[in-house]
Amino acid sequence: MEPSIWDWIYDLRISQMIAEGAWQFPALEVIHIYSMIFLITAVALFDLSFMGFSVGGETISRAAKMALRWTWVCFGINAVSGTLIFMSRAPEYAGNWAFQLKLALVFVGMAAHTIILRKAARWETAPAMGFGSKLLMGGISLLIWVGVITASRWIAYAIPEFL
Amino acid sequence: MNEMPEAWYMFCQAVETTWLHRTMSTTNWYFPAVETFHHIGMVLLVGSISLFDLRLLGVAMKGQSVSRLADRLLPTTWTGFALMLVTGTLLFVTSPLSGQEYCPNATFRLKLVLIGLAGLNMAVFHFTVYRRVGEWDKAHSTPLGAKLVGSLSVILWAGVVAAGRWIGFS
Repeated sequence: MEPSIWDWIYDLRISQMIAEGAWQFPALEVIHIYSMIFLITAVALFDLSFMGFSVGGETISRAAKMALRWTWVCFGINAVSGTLIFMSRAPEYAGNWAFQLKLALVFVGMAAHTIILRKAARWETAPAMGFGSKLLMGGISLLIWVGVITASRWIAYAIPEFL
Repeated sequence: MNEMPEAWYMFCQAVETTWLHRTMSTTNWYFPAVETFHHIGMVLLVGSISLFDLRLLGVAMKGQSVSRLADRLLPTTWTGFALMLVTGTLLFVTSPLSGQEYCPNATFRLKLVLIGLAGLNMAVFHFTVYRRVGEWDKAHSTPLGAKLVGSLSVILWAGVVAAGRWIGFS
């Protein structure tokens, strides 16, 4: 079989350094998980504000501005650390269904938030929308991120040796 | 493997004889399923605590009432803590001496110590600086004591997350 792009990435010096080092891989994971906590907290704070359960009593536009800033900083850290983690095990991760699902959920979650947060940063008050619709939208967003955590945790187990 | 105190070793041996240990260690998907809830609990716990710490440090939620923020965040913090305690116990019970070998793992014990210190830090805050929260409740700049507690809390919880991740690698 011809070597794939994933093998090529895996063979890069930086990927090998992470794969073979004693502390590089777990250190990247710690950075990845720690910034994930802040990313999801920022998103959840906005979602709660949107649903009418503002945590600190902040206005919805203020919550949106705060979330926009924090999500993108945390997402940047997550993307860099995540890419490095991926490179060190590229062939395994690329074919891993839990990893693929996680990537799809992160993409949907970030895309939806970028659209909503940029609009919400300009809102004077919350949109005139039924409580049920707000609850549904906020609930779906929160569920996407719970899904991200779940899929992440299953990456290590979505392997033939396990199931 | 490092030396274990006698009482600790006997306790770990006793855990291996329990029904819970047998149940958890004989079905292979129980462990990752419980781990998933452990991570959700972590986001609730560390996320809510960090938000409060950032307010104490004057980084986020500036000008919002500190006592109101505390009241609004505490239910989430306690929910996260309860979820972590229950799932963490289940994970520990699965493989104290076999498999993951939590008992002889120095990083695992470090994590428990860090959680204890974080709890102590919160208790100290509650009984000292927070007693006079009325005087600085809405102030952008919090007293030095509050900033100290906030910094310590951030460091200790980051340490807990790091130690937790490191258990499997040590």
